[in-house]
Amino acid sequence: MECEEIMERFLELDNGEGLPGEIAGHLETCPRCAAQVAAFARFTESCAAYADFAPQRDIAAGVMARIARAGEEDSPWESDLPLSMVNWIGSGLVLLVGMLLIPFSGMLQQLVRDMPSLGIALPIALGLIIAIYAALFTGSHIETLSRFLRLR
Amino acid sequence: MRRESGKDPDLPAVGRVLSGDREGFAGLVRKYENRIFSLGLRFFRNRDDACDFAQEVFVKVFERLGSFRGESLFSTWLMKVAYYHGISLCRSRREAASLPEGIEIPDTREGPQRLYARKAAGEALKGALGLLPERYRICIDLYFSFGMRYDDIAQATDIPVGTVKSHVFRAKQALREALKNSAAEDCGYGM
Repeated sequence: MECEEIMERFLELDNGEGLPGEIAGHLETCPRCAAQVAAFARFTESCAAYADFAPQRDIAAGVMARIARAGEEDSPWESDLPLSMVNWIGSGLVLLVGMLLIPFSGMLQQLVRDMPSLGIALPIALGLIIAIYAALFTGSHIETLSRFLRLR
Repeated sequence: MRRESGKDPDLPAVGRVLSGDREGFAGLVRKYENRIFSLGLRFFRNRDDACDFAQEVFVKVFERLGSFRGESLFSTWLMKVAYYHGISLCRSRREAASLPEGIEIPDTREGPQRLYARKAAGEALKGALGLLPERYRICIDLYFSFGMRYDDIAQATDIPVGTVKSHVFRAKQALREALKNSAAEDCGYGM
């Protein structure tokens, strides 16, 4: 009966789990159970060969070639966009400086005096332009941004 | 269940690939190509299809690497991607997954008696597999052939861990019966 209990407990063990002391102790004194456990170990060892068949082709080379091809075909954002990241940032800075200089324009000050509502509409319009620009920039660089955030 | 990231030996390589080192992915492919190819043999039973399957799996893994959050081992996540890709391909081809047939594994360390015992055990394992619904056969295969743990099998297949344990346990009991003869020879006892 003790042998049966020990073997039941042995069969419940997970892969890579060490033998508990109680089972190990029993195996030292019971050649019958020890033989069963050894036969089991030999069998599971031989099973590992079923997960280690070698492919006849160079899988890695094939995968890397497919990845490279897919990269060329699927990355229009990086390769075919008329504006690179540097150009995006450069254009954005020029836009921002231009907006900051608007209040210093004599013509604009004259216009605001003639049409007071322009003083409210203009900041809204400028804010909208900045928001649209930021959205376009984020959308077109979403992969780069997510990679950057993940790394942080 | 979240594992400590330090315990996954593949995490540094994954991090390098994610930070732009595409060539680093080749190292991961080489490490696991036999495993994924062997899983492909379960699904397709021929080497060409298994090779194509392995390539597709690794391309898929590369494309989805950004969604790998380290909640399981990379190897477990890889097996999950491979398993589901195999299942979906099989559904479209209406082929069943099981241990590969007609592929002999030469093991020069074993004598004829041991070989016979192993063959008998292999038959017993196939018998145990045959008793299980198709969906659960993969548990036995992943446990015995791929050496995966209960938790990892559950994560890779989305089968509850209790179900995995009970199926593996039943397969082990069947195996124990089949292995009794060879064990009896080893210890000189009848069983």
